Amino acid sequence: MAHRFIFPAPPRRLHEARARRVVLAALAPLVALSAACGADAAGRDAAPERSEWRGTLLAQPAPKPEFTLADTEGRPYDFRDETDGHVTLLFFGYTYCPDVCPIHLASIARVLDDLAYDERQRVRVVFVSTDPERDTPERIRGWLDAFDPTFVGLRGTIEEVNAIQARMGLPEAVRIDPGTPGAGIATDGGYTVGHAAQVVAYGLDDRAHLIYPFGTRQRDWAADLPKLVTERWTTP
Amino acid sequence: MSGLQWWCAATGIPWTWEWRAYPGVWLFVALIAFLYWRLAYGTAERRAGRSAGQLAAAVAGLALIWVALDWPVGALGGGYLASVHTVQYLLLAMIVPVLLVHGLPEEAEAALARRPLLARVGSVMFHPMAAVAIYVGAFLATHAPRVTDALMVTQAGSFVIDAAWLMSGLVFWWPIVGTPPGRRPLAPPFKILQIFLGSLAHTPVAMWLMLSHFPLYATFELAPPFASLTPKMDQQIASGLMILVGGFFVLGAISTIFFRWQGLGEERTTTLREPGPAA
Repeated sequence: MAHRFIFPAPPRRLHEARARRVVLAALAPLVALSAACGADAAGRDAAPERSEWRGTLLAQPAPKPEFTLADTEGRPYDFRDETDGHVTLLFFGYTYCPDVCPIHLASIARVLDDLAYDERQRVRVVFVSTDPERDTPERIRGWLDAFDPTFVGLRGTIEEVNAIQARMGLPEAVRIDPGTPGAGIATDGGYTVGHAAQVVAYGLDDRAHLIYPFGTRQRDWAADLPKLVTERWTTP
Repeated sequence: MSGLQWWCAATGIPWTWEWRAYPGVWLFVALIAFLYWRLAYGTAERRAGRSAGQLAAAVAGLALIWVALDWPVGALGGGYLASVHTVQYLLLAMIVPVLLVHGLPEEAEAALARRPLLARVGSVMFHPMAAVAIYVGAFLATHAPRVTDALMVTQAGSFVIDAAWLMSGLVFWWPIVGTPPGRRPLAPPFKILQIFLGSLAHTPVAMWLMLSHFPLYATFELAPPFASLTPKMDQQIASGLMILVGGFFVLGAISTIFFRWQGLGEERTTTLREPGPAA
């Protein structure tokens, strides 16, 4: 059951294996989060119809975290204020990531292109770097621009970023040096960073209802994003 | 996941140009080469019966199997790029079979035909309708996204796809380029008809790849990015290769058969018109 929470559909072995490297650590805290929220009140722990969404529906919506980090222009970006009333896709990753991060962001960017203008205006995509050592503001901006110039890039100290993730029930980002067991292949020859592989989706009600693990395809985003920008989430 | 692999398959490991060994590919190519060479040139009679062109075709066919399956083409096509996967298909299911069959001396084909079991199996398998069904069936099955995505994440599954392309290609092209065991030589119009029927499925599948709004194969869509190629662009290149290279090859094969057939007809006509010896 816990496995299904991370992977709503039976994952292919390849992507399961790859995702395992970066999200295994996410399993325990998320399940714990789910369990904690599920015990919130009797009768409120049942997940709505899973079949409505391609992403994984959280049994209990999670509140949008409050944090302020520097954007790529160096200005403070208050996550709650800036994204208030918008569908917000929040993702923690790093620009040197050879697989999960560019694939997620490219898929989202591709599907956002298909949305009508007014629908597109209701979506914010926020990327938080888990590798502040190498991810300079300029590098983050250039990297995000290759996907979509409207994507917001945020940067803080690794302690700040990990604290935000901890509050959200996500695992801390971990630097994995070459030669370390479990280290992936870094395309630039440097180190890799183990991090949560899921995109957290906040609805118009500013609560997280869905997560999108690695393996989410463009057609999945295309099915869910138009619904997300209209869904009012009437359930408590 | 970064340990030794015996066959190229999707691993999810980011692509690097660092050479990787695939011992299963080497063994497979060596086995095919050994069996083929023994069949084609195993006796002095067969060696004497082959032309330089046939020898070159045989060597090229075997070399292209290796190219299609080993690093880097095999690795890129096995888990990174749909376009390279299509190159593998064109090589294994179209170009290599034609070269290998062309490289077989007539004596070798005759020796196979003398084996009763092979002749019996061949009479069914190489029947034009059966050959077309096998070729088209293998093509459609191995291009169905669910099948491809399920098979390509394992080395055994990836091997099945590669072997299916090569075997179905041999079954399809042998009656067109040569005379398989258990069958009589096909008349040129039937060869042309068989090629036409066998290639009918290529265009709709290629157009499906070209026009599909989103990438069709999870294997390539979720593969670690290769250069700045998006999955959609990669899929469109794959489609273009299938239409252009595949179409050119099919058209070339049909034209060759047609003009040889026409040349043969003119030769016969000339022979009939020549005055006979005076009585």
